[in-house]
Amino acid sequence: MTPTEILLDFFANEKKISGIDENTDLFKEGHVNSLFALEMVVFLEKTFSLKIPRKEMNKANFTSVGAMAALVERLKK
Amino acid sequence: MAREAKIKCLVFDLDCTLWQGVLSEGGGKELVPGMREFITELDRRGIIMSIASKNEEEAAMANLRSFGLDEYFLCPEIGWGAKSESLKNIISNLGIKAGSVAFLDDNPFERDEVAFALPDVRCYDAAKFKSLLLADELSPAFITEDAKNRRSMYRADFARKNDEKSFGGSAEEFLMTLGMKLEIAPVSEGDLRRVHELTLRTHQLNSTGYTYDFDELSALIDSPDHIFLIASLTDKYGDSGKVGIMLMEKQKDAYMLKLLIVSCRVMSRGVGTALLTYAVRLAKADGKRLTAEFRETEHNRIMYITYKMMGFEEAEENGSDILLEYAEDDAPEYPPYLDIMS
Repeated sequence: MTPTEILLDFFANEKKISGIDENTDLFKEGHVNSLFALEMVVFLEKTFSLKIPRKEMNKANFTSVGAMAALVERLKK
Repeated sequence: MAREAKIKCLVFDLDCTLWQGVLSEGGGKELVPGMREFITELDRRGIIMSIASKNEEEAAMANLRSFGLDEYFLCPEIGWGAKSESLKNIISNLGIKAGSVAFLDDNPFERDEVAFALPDVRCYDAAKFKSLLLADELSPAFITEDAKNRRSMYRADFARKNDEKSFGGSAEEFLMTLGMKLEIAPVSEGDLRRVHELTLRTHQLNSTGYTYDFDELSALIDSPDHIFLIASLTDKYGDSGKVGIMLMEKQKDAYMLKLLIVSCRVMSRGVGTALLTYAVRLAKADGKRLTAEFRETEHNRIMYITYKMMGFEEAEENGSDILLEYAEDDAPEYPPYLDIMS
C-alpha cells in the first residue's frame, strides 16, 4: 500500500472518521487537535520508520492525508 | 531506579494488614487498630489507595463494605496471582509510574516478590503502618482542594474512559457528548498551592518548565505587567478541578506567554487549545502580537505540537529555547466541544 492508502485506511478504521479523501482539509473539518496531531506524528514515525524533525511539525504538513503522505515521501529520501 | 519524591498511591494487602486475621480462615472480623484513621488521613492528603490481596474477590469486597471502607480503594486487584502482577495492573489502570507507588503488606515474601519485580515500588512492613504518616514521601507539602477530591476525580475518569471505549464514533464526537465547561479566571491567592502543585507535577504538558516559588507566584497575581490565569474543567461525570494555568507578560507591542501548563489528567480534551485561543483573542483585542516562550524538554513534544497546530511559528531559536509567534491573521475558534466561561 502507498502512504496515502495506509493513511486513509488508518482514518477510516482506527480513527472512525469517514468521508474524507486525500485532499480533505482536516483542520477545516475540525478533526485536528494537538493530541490528534501527536498521534499522527507517532503513527507516521512508527509506520514508516522515520523521524519527523521539529521544523516539519507545522500545519501545512498535517492539513490533509495528501500532505502527510508527501511529508513521508520527502523524509524517506 | 526512578523513585519519585512523593507517593501518589499506596497499595494495601488485606489479611493481617488491613484487618486482623485471614478472611478465608474465619478472620477479618476486626480492623487492625488505627487502620480506619490511617486510611481516612491518607485520603485527606490526596493519596490514592488500592488493594493487592490474595483472596476470594467477592468475599473480600463484601468484608471491606461491611467496614464502610470499599469506597476508598480504586482499581482493587483481588485474586490468586502474583502481587507484582496486581501492582502492575494497578499502575497501568491508574496511569501513574511505579516510582510513585508504595505497597503495604505484613508478609515479607510478598514484599520481596514485589520489590524484585518492581524495584521502584517502595515496600513497607504493615506492622509499621502508623509511622508512615510521618514519612516524607507520604506527606504532601500542601493539601489542596484538588488533592482532597482526587479520589472522586479518578472515579469520574474511569467512568468516562469506560464510556469512551464503548463509544462508536470518533474521539471528537465523543468529546461532544461530555458537556464540558471550561472556566478561565484570574489566579487568586487561594489557587497558589494548586498552581505550585501543577508546576511541579506536570512535565508533558508544560511549555517551559519554569518553576516559581510562592512569593514569586504571589507577586505575579498583583503584577500590572502580567496576566495570570487558571482554568477549571467540569463535565457530566463530575468536576476535574483546576487543570490549566497560563502566564503572560505584557510587553510594549506584544503579550508573551511565559508558562502554559495543562494537567495530564485532562490530556486530549482541548484545554491547551482553548487556553491558547483565549490568549490569541485577548492579544488581538488589545492590538498586540502574541509570542510564546518554549523550552524543549524530553517530555513536552506534545506542547510544541499544540502551538504549531494552532498556527504559531518559530520566530527565534537558541538551542532548546524557542520563541514562537502566532502567525495567522484570524484568531482561531474554540474547540466546539468546550463551553468557555470567562
